[in-house]
Amino acid sequence: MNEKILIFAGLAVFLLAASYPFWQSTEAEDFPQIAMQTKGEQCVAPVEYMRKNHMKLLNTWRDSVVRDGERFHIMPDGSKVEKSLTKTCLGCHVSKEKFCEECHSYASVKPYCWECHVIPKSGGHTELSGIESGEISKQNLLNNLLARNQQFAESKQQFQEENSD
Amino acid sequence: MIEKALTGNKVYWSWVALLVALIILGIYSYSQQLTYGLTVTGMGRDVSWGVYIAQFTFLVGVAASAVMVVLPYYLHDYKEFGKIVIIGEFLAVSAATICLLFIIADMGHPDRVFYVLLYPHPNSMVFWDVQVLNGYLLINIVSGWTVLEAERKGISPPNWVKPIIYLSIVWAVSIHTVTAFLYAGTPGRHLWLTAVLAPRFLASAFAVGPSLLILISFILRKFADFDVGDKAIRKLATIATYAAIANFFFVGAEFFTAFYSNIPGHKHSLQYLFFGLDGKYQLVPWMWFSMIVGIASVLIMLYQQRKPSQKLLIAACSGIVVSLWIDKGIGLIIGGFVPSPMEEVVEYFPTFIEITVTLGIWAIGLLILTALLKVAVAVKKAA
Amino acid sequence: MIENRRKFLKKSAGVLAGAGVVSGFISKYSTGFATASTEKPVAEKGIRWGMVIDMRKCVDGCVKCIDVCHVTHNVPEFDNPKDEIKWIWKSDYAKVFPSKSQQFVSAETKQKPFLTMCNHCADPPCVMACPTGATFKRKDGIVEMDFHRCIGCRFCMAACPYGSRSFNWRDPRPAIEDITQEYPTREKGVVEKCNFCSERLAKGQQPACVEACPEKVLTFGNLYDKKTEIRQILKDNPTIQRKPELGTNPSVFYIT
Repeated sequence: MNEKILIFAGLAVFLLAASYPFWQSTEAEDFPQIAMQTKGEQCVAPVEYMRKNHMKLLNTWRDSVVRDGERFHIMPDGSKVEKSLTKTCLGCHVSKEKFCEECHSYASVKPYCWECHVIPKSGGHTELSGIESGEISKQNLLNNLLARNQQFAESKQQFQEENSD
Repeated sequence: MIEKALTGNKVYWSWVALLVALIILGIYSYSQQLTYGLTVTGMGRDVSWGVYIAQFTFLVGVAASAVMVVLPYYLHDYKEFGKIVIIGEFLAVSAATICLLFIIADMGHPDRVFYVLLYPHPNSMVFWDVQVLNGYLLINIVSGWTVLEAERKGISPPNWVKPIIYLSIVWAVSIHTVTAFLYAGTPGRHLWLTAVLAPRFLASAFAVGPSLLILISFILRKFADFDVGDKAIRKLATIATYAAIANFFFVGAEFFTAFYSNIPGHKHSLQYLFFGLDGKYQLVPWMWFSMIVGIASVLIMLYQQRKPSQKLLIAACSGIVVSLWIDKGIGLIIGGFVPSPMEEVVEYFPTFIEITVTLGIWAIGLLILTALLKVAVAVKKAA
Repeated sequence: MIENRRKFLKKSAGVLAGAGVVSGFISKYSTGFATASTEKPVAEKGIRWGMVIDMRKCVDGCVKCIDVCHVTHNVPEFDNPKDEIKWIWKSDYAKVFPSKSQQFVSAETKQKPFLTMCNHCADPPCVMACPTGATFKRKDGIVEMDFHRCIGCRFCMAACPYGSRSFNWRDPRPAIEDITQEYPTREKGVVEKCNFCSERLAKGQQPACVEACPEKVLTFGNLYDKKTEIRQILKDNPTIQRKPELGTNPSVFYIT
C-alpha cells in the first residue's frame, strides 16, 4: 500500500515537472524582432506562409533541385528565381546572422544547412545564368564555353599560384 | 519477472560491473567517433568496412542459430531441449540487438537511421536486412518471454504464440540469407560474389550457435547451479559438428573454384588471406590459425562423440567459436575489400577507439543476455 | 499546400512504383535471354550523358582537369590516403583495366596514367545497393548523390566495382584551401563522387574537366543522340569501357 502511494506521488511530481512549460506560459516573451533587411520587393511566397513554413519550402526546393533537377521557382508575379537558399533567399535577406540565426537561436533549432552550404560572402541578387536544364543547344554551349573558359583559366592560375609555394 | 535479474551473488554483480565498465568505455570511444567522424577507425577509402560490419555479420549468425534448438523442440517435439530452448531464444535476442547496434556504430550519419524506413528502397538488401533483423528480434522477445511467463504461472503457453514460433524458424533462415545477399550481390568483389555464400553463412552459424549454447550451458551449470541436461548438450554437439563440417566443405569448394579455374580475380582475395598478396600478409597467420583450430576442433568433436569428455567438448566448442569468428568476423569482410577494385592491396587494422566501441557493444549484448538468462534460470528452477 | 500536393503525388507514385518494381524485375531479367553478350539492350530515347576519354592526347603529368574539378566542387585534400576523397584522378592502365590484356605489354603502357572517375553506369550497382535512394539515377543518366539523404552506410562503396566513391571520414572543410562559393562542401559521414557537373549542365555549361583540358582529351555529350560529336567519335574509333563484363554499362568510354 505504502509503495503505491510513493509510486503515484512520484508520478505526479514527474508529470508536473514535465508539463511545466505548457501550463506555465503559453505566450512567448522577448520574441526577437527580425530585421527584415531586404533588397527585393517580393518574397517567393507570402510572408505569413514563409514565417511558419520556410523550412518545409526549403526542403521541397532541396528535393526538387537535387532529385528532380527542377531548379526554378515561379514567383507570385510569374517571374523565375533559382531555388537556392544561398543565392535567392540570402540574396535578398542579406544578413544570415540577423535573418536566420537570431530566430533559430531563440527557438533553439539547429538546422544543418551551413555544415555544407557556403555562407555567401556578399549578398546580392544573382541573375539567372544559362538556360533551364536538359536541352543544351550548341550555340549556347559554345557561348558559355568561351565565357567560362576565361574564368576557369583565371581561377586555375590563381589556384596554382596559391599552391606553388 | 524482470526483477529476478536484480538479485544475485558477488560473482554475478562483479560480472555485471565488468560489463558496465566496458560499456562506459565504449560509450566514451563512440562519443569520440561522433565528434571526429569515422576517421578515428582504421577504415579508409579502400577498406571501407571493418570490424563493426564484420561483428554484425558474425552475430547475425549467432542470432539465426536459435533455430537449431527451436526447430527440434517445437516442430519435432524433441523434449530434451525443453530447458535449453529459452536460452537459445534469449541468445538470439541479445545477438540481434547488438547486430543493430553494430550497424548504427558503423554509420556515418546515425542520426539518419530512420531514413531506411522513411525512404524505403526495396532494391537494396540493407532495406530487407533491417526489416528481417528487427522482425526477428521482436519475434524472439515475444515468443521467448510469453512461454517463460506461462511457465512461471504454471500454465501452458497461449495458443497464439505457436504460429509466431513456427514463423521464427523460417525467419531465422531468412536473416542470415539476406545478410549473405548483402555481400553476394556486389558485382566487383570476387570473394563475396559466390552463390555458396548464403549456405556457408548458415553452416557456420549453425556451428557457432550450438557451440556457444554448449559453453553457456556449462557456465550455467557451474555458476547458476542449473543443468540443461547431458542429452541436450550431446545433441547440440552433434549439430555443431556437422554444421562445422559443412562449413569447411563450403570453404574447400571456394578454394577449388578459385584455384582450379585459375581466374586471377577469383584467387586474389583468398591469396591475400591465406598466402599474402603484393607483399602484404597481415591476415595470413590469423586465417591459418582459424583453419587449423577449426578443423582440429571438428576432429575433437568427432572423437568425443565416442568417448564423451567434458573438457574436450569445451575445448572443441571454444575452438569452433574462435575459428569461425576469425573466418567470418575478420577474414570474410576485410578479405572482400582486398584487393580493391583498383587492384590496390591496402591493409586494415582496427584502432583502439574502434576496438573499445566493439567491446562496449559486445558488453551490452552480454549484459542483456546475462539479465535474460538470470530471469530464465530463476523461473525454470522455481517451476 | 504546394508541399501537400507534392507529397500526395509522391505517395501515389510510390504505390505505382511498388507494382512497377515487380514488373521491372521481370523485364530486367528477361532481357538476359535475348542475347548472350555483355551489352544490355537499351531504348535510346531522351538523354544519356556520356564521355569519351582520348588517352592518346592526354599528357603525362598534366592534372588540369583534376585541379579544376576539385576546386569547382570543393573536394578536400587530405595527407592521409585513408581519408582521401577523389572525383577524378589518374591511375595506372593495368589498374584501371585489370581484365584487359596485360601480356607482353610494355611497362610504360602498364604504368601509363589513365584518367578515371565515376562511370555513370546505365545499370549502376551503387544505386541498387543504396537503402535510402541517396544515390540515384537521373532521367538524363547521371548517377547523382543527394547528400541530405545519405546515411553513411557505405554500401555503395562496397557495390561500386570501380572504386569511384569516397567517404567523408572526417570534416572536409579544414582541408579545403579556398572554398568555392557556388558549390556546397560536404559534411563528415556522407559518400561523394563525380556528378558529371550536373550543376553546370543545368546552366548549359560543359563539365569543368572537359572545359579545362587544353588537349581536348575529354568529349562530353548525349549518347542517345546520333548527331552528337561524341557519337561520331565512338563510331570512328575503337573504344573500351571499364569492366564491361559486369553488365553495368558504363557511360565513360576510353580510346587507348
